Formats: sequence, C-alpha cells, structure tokens
Amino acid sequence: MSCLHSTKRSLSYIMLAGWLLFGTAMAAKLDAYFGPNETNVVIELTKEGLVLGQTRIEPWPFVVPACDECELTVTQSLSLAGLTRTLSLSKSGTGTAPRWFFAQVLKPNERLPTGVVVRARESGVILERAGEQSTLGLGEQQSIDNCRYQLAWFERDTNQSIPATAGQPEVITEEPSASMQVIGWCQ
Amino acid sequence: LFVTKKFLKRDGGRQALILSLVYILAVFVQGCSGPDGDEPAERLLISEVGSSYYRNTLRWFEVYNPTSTAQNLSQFELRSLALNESESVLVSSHTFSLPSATVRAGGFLILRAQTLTDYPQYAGEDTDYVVHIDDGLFRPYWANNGFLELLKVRGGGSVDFVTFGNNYEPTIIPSWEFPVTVMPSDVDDFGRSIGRDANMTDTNSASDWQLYDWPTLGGPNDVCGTDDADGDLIPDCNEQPGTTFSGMPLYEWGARAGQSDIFIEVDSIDSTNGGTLFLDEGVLPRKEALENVVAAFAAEGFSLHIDIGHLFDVNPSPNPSIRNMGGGEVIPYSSSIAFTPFNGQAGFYDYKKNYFNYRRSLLFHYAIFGTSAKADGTAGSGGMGEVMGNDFMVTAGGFGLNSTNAASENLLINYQSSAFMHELGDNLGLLHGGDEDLNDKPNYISTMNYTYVMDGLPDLDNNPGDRYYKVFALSCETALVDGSHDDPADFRLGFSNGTSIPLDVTNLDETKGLGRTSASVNDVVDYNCNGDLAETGVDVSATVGAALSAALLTDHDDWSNIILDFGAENVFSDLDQSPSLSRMQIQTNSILRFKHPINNDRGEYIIERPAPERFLRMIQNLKAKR
Repeated sequence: MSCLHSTKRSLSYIMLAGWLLFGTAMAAKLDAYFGPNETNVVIELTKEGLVLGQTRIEPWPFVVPACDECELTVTQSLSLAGLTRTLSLSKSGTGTAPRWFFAQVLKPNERLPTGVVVRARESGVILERAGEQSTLGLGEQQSIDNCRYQLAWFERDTNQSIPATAGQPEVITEEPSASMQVIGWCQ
Repeated sequence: LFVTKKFLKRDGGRQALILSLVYILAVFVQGCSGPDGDEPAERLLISEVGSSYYRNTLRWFEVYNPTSTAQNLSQFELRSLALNESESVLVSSHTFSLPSATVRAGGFLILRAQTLTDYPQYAGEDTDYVVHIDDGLFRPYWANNGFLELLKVRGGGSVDFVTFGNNYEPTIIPSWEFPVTVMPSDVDDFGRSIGRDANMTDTNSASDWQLYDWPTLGGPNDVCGTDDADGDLIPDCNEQPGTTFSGMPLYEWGARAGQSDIFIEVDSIDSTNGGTLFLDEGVLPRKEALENVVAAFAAEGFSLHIDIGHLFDVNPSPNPSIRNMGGGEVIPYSSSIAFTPFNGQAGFYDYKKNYFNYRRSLLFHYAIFGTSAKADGTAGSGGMGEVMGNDFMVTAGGFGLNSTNAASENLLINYQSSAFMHELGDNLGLLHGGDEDLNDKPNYISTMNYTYVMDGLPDLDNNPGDRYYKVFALSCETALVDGSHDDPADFRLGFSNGTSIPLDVTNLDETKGLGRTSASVNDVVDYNCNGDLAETGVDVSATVGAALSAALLTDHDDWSNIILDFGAENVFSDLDQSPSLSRMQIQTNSILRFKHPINNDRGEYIIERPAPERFLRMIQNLKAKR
C-alpha cells in the first residue's frame, strides 16, 4: 500500500508540475460520471482519468487528491439547465470539512463545499467569502484560507436560443447561462 | 343450397330450377357490385384539395373511402397537371402511380407531392395518415386552375374527378359541366382548401364543393364557419355543442367559443424499456403536475386541454375530464432524445410522426416527457421547446426525481409542472426574459425566468427576495417560502403580467422590492445583502449587473403577449421581425405547419419561390386535351 501511495504521490507531483507549467493550455471540460456516496473510497489515477470508487472524471490533468479512509459525498441541485453536482472528499470522522472537492456548476453562482461562493462573470469567476472577492480565470489558481481553488472549465453562453432559419422555428434548449468546473484542494 | 334441396324434394325440379337460377343471378350481381350491393369494389372520393400558390409547395389533397371495406390506394392512379421542376416543364396531364396504403372504411388519407429536386435529403416517409406521390420526374401541380382524377389501375376508368378554375375533363363521361370556381390561389389564401360538404355529397358537379378557410386534413370537412373571435384558431361555430372539427369533438373536449383554448397531446417515453429497467419517475408525468399547469392558465383565462391518454385512466373510453382524449400514450424507450438527433439519439419528430395523429396538427401542441437530452443518456438539459412553435419536451431523465418521501415527491411534481409550463411558454412565444433572452431578471416574475422556474414564484407578501438571494446573494440566502420541496398546492406557477417597474442595477430602491406596483409593504428586498432593507440608491452592478451584463432590467407582460397561432411566424419575409398575427399568417401558416416533407411541421422546408411568369401563363392557357 505504501508503495502504491508513494507511486501515487510521485505521479501527483508530476501532474502538479505539468499543471503549473501548462495549466492554462490544458483547460478543457472534464467528463464526470457520478457514482453514489462511498466510504473508504479508493482513489486511483488511470490513463483515462481520476477514479474515485464508482465515480470517474476524465481526463484528469491535475493533482490527484490524496486522502486515506475518506468519504466521498455526492450532492446535487436541480435547475432547468441540468444538475449542478459536487463531489467532496472528507476524512472519515472529522466532520464535513473537505480535503478535496470537484464542483460542476450549471448556475450563475453556487456555494462550494468550503463555504466559498463561486460566481460566474463575463470571463471567469469570482470567489467570495465573507464579503471578500477574488477573481479566478480559466487555468488560474487562487488560495483562500487553507484551500487552493482551480477553475478547470468555464463557459459563458449568453444566447441560449438557436436562431430561426428559413421556415424553421427557433428552438430554445435549456442550457446554463454559465457553466463551470471548480476543483479545490484543502489542507 | 339447403333451400334448393328442400324444394327439390317437395315440389319437384321446376321450382328448384327457378330458385337456382335466381340464386346464381344474385351471386353474379353481388359479385359485380361490391360488398354493399351497389358499391363498386374499388372506390374512393377526392374529398379535399389544399390551395397552393408557389410552384414548389408540397401540394396535398385528401381521399375518403365511402365504402364499407378498406381500400388499398395502390389500386388507383392519379392524373393531374404535373411539374418537372428540374427541367422547368409543366405538362397538362400526367398519371402517377400511388403507393400501397390502406384507406380504412369511412376513413381519410392525405396524399402529398413528394419533394424532388429541392430537398431530396428530406424525402417524405409514408405513415398511416399521409403518403407521398413520387415518380422521380414529376410532382402533382395546381394553382387556381387544376384538376385531380383518380383512375382505376385494373380496367382503367375514372373513379373520381374534380376540376377547378379551368374546365378540365375527366377520362370517362359523365363530364363536369362547370369547374369549381372557388379555389383560391393568392399568397394570402395559402392554407385554405376546397372540399366536399360534411356529407361527402358526390353528384359529379361543382356544387359538391365549397371553400374552407380551415383545412381539415385527414378528417371530415366539418368546418361550419369563418369567425374566430376568440383567436384560438378554432372556428367559433366548431366550438358549439354537437359539432366536431376534423372529426374531433372539441366541445366535448372542453373547447368553447369566447375562450382561448390550447390543446396539447402529451406522450411519455417508457423509461423502463418494457420493464427491463428501473422506472425513472422524472419521465413519467404526474397528474398533479399537469393539473397545476392547467390551473395556472385557467387563472388567466386560458383553457388548457391536455391529452395524456390512458395514463391516468384505466377505462377504455376517452374521458377529457381526466385528461384523456384518446391520443396521449407511452412511447418506446430510448435513453436519449433530441429535436436534431445524433449519435444514436431518438428523434422527437420521428416519435411525432408515428404517435401523433395528423388531423390534430392544426390545433395541438405535441409534448414528450423524455429521458435524457444528452446523447450518452446521462442527465442533461431539462427540456427544450420551439419558440412560437408547437413542439416541446421535458427531459428530466437521470435527474434522480422520485417519490420516496414527501419532500422528494413534492420536488418531482413541482419540477414537472414548472418545466412543462416553461417549455410550453416557449411554444407560446415567450423567452427567458419574456421578450428577450436576458435571464434571471429579479423583477420578471415568471416561470420563464430561471430564477423562478425551479423554486416557483416568490410570495410577494413574505420574503419576496428569497429567490433573488439564492441566485445573486448567497450570503443572504434564507429558507424559501413555498419552494420546490414544499406542497405542490402552495407552489406558485405563472407567467408575468408585466407590472413590475424597471430596475436600474446602479440605483435600486430596496423598499420597492421586486418592483410590483401592486405589491404590499412587505415587498422589500435587501439587494446588496447588508442587512438594511430600506436603502435607496443601491448599486448592485458588480453582482447582478455583472452576472447579467445588463444595467436596466425590465418586466414583460407575458399573458397579454401569448401567441396562440404557433404558425404565426412570417416565413415569407424577414424571420427576425416581430411576430404579429394577420389574416394572411393565420390562413397561410395553417398549412405551413405541414411544410416539412417528413410529415412534421418543423425542419427544413421547401423554399418558397414564386412560380415563373411563364408557368402562370401556361396554366392560365392550359385546357385539358386527351
């Protein structure tokens, strides 16, 4: 196990180095496949991506969360545009303070598991805590308190309607006005 | 034969011989006349002909089977004027083979010209309601002049004939003395028709035919008037007791003159795939959800008539009082559905083609409770709808909606009602900002607004800013009053009445709350979330303004601007112009709803081009010559 952990850590450091060097260039929407809540979740990095028990995020060009004997909690909230979903890892028996989280947000703003509010802006997001705001662009990182935040994906859709063409009615697909993927690592 | 044997025994051979001869003669006569004695075996009537103006319109006409036995269309041929568009040739007489299709006894079938050169990729598919005529070279053609003749394949001869404008002649006498003179063919007349009367009178004369402002495709010609004072696109006289429209008992289904009637057929995908998968409750319409939408419309004077079929009704007969007009049904499983399918998705319009009765198309919206809008079948967008159209879907598959406890069941019902009303709103011409795409305007208190669609409209007398805080000021977030997990009876649905004052995000008066002029003193909102609800000159441009990329937020009177004519878009000129109802549009678009050659009313249509002058001159001068 220790060897495995060591390997994982090494891999994590490599990924972190790559991310620090090429973070902005690697920005791409991640495909997340959400499984159920799990205890003692097994965390693995495969060539396809990050595996958290029955949950997968593909690809995963970021630091792999290191968390032993952790609980994986999946939360979701409805909007007409789809599901806003959050994954968070917290140490078993230590309350709800997350060690790591991944939020796929389909709303203009959302409260992250750390309590920080993320708000969509024209290009990028704002992180807000106790009245303090800081901007976070795609590929950038920001630290607030003991957590580091990464905006992995951001998309602003100002026009959700598909314009009419000759003889074809306009169709509105319920899509978010802004969608984002935010990752957080906490100490 | 039994009687003959009896006579042979009792009265001898003479009487028996006479009876046998009578019997043989009777059998012979019956064999010549058909199943009803005096009906020929191969018989159809041309019952209605759509008006046409442009040369590349997909012309349509309707046939009726007056006999007591089903007829196969392939027993007949069609003779008419014909156009070879690719070579710009119009011929005065061309005979078309007809495809194999059953016209049931007493039933109707629509025949349409197949698309040829314009959009061959959209070649029409035949259904139980409509078939297409295609010989690869010509398509049937008529304008204000023309004729249609049904011929028997076996033995030849005219089965039925109608001529209009010019006095064309049928193949076999008796010929018509006068043509039908009422066939309209101006651009403003597009969408009207000529047809026999409701009794299908057939005396081989022009007097059998009359002009109809409303076509009745695939149904009886039972339109009884031209007035539509309530503007719901149903003739007022067809909303009277005992009447039908295209055979549909609209009065029995709730339609009334003097009220705005909106009809919707709702189908739902079988999320269990025939019982092999777990039921996804989000895909199965809940009666409470639909009833709440009906109530929201009724409160504003609109009568919503939903046909969910037998989903809530185990009895075999339709019962409109429990939303069963005999049309809605559970349709086969697909993990994903889209208007424009790709990567294995099911197509909305394919479902519509197979499960929606053609004759309803003039009046009914068509809705599907679908599974996922994402091609991989995972949870995606919650729905989509045509704007000022007649098709929409709610796609809550994979959302985890369920009824395992009271709060979850409330969410399930409230979600379905909100999403259904929102997508229907698109069909009725409403956008996320009413008359604009700008979403999340706090003072636009409408189910069309994302701020209010999932959690319901706010209580203007009790913490009206609770939805606003959730969207724009999470640090002020409070428990929602009558939110999505609360009792559906308290969940507020509705479109806006437009009475909110405009909000300037740089200069807000918090004491005016969401801006409704009729709201109570409790309508106050702490826009800047500082604990003081009585401030003026509040600037939220950094939050609300930045999120919306707008400074002045306006309300919209949704209810007064609902567009019932889902074909009202002016397709003849500028598609971007504001929609407006006009007689021309009402009349013409009723047929344009059928413009798509694959039997639905959306998608690419044949680009309308006026017939070249020389074609028009040719038609004017053409006389049928045999």
